[in-house]
Amino acid sequence: MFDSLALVTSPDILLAMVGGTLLGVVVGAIPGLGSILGLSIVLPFTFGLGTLPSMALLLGVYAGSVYGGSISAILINMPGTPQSAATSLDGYPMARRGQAGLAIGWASVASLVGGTFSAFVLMTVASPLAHFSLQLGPPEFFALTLMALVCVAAVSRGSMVKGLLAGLIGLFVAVVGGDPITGDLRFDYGILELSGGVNRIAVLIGVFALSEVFVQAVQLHDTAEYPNTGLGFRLPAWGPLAARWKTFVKSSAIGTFIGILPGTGATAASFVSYIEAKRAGRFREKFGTGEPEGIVASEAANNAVTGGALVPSLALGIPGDAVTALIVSLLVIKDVQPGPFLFTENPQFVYSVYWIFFLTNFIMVVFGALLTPVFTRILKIPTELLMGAITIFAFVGTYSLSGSAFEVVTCLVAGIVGFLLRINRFPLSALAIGLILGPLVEESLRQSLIVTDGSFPAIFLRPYSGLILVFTVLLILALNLKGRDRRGGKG
Amino acid sequence: MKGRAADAVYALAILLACGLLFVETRSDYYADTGIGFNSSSVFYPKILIALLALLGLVLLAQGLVRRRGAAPAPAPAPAADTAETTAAAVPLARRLAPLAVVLGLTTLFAALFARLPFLATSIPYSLLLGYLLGYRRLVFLVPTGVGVPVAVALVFEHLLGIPLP
Repeated sequence: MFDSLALVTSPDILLAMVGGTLLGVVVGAIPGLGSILGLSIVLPFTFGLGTLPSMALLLGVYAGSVYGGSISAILINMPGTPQSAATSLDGYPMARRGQAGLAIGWASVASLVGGTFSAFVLMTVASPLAHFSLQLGPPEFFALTLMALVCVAAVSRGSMVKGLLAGLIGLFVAVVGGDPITGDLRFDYGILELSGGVNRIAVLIGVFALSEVFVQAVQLHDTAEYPNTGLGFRLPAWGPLAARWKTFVKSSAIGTFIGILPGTGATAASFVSYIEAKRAGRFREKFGTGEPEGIVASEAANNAVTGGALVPSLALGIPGDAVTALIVSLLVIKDVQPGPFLFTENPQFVYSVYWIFFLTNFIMVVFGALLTPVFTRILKIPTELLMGAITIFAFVGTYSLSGSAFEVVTCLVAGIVGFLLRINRFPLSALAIGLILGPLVEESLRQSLIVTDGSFPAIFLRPYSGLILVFTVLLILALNLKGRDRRGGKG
Repeated sequence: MKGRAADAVYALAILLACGLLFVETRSDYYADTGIGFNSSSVFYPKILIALLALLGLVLLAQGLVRRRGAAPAPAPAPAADTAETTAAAVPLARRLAPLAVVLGLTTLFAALFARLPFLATSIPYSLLLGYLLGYRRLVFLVPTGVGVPVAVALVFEHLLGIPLP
């Protein structure tokens, strides 16, 4: 374990961690960009790096961007990422009364607590889960992948039907190319480049990064009001921190647990945590007027999700959201297959990932403190200048996958399709999960049918797969009821 | 386009795609696949097509059946995706001009990307995109439009050793 700590403090990994976190904080802070776009931008850089520096870069962007989202939520009431929407409810009122730097200080401490809490949970839970999963067969893995897909679709913004359709589109794109069982080519239409399948990274970069450029093009004239006082970073005093310790712990636990569940994600976690703190917090009467406990509830929870989401991704190879889907696909490109065997065959890699994630949480807070005075300028970078840079990164990234112009065309087509889906509220995270899980879903389904002599119901009559099915149904019911309550409450 | 009408159009597009894909699975080529195995190579794709078609019909029904003048759908639950809500909330027709510029230029950029040297395509693309979208402060536009592509070329070709066109 401590050998791995020495390994991750080597200059190349440290540089990747610092660079990734800096980029993540900045990308997270700029409204409309966010975690997935940040990861899509840095993905091409990983092709020239080793596996661990690549992971350091991606995890830095991931954790940094979730934290960075809180900065614009506080400064301009426009969350850089959806997961920081709840932060603006109390962060922006603090900024308006000249305490922007202090509000960012609260968000920084809460993010650090949430992130490190989830890092400890990742360290303790992932390995036992991976070893347990060795007992699971194709039917159980089929049930797990189904759970991930259905949960992502069920809690996605917009209708569940659109979520399921997006997931199925992702699954179908993954079908193109060779049949994993028989080796026959499917839906390649005689195009040589499609015989190996659609390049999933090119599709993901197109769907998330390039579609963002098109979305930004229709939002060009949106403006925001920037504060100009109280921008010096300030950490909260010990007394007020201690008075809110229960919310720190409870919100971190909520975020980590929700992160482990597939599909729910940081946005749901921050709102669930905020609502819980508003119900039971010590300072609940002041919520919405600039109460730091509201910032703590939202930020501790959304940063805790990052570690939680890595648990099923590393232990089972099943990503729970679009961000971890990108991380899993990078590992596969690097010939590292996430899942139970990773823990038995390459434990040092796993320990190194733990340490990288742990250290990243401290680095992001340092950047938050250093950059707070200049964030209002960063947030004013014109969209017209950003769009060109994002497109260049997207095309360079896809071209460098195989040095082929075909991947650039794939990225463009995926970008246009992604844009069309986004403007009609089809959730792209469901599409990404379908795309990444596609081969595993097909292989586990067809192997399960061999085991059960072609019987679909028999797949779910085994103890663990039946349990997973029941858990999935209960989870969807609980999430939908919670969502209905919240909407009812608003009305 | 209103939400319900858009849903109906998307559903029809999905149903059309499902129809074409189903016809493809019935072709002679696939009749000879999967011999010696328990299923053909289009067994699983057929399941996906059936599910897509079923959900497409549900979406179409939702688009057509909801009564005119009925209350709008309740605010949806938040999710991990970015920006789609804001984009959806924007009246698209009013903002089609910048979108058309971005789409046209980006398609041209993609078409020429591998045919011309990287800097010969990316620098004009950056500069033109910013200018055509209405950004007129050349003191920022020119350094960014030139600096970003040059920096990307230096990092990829010299630092990472990844050749660009």
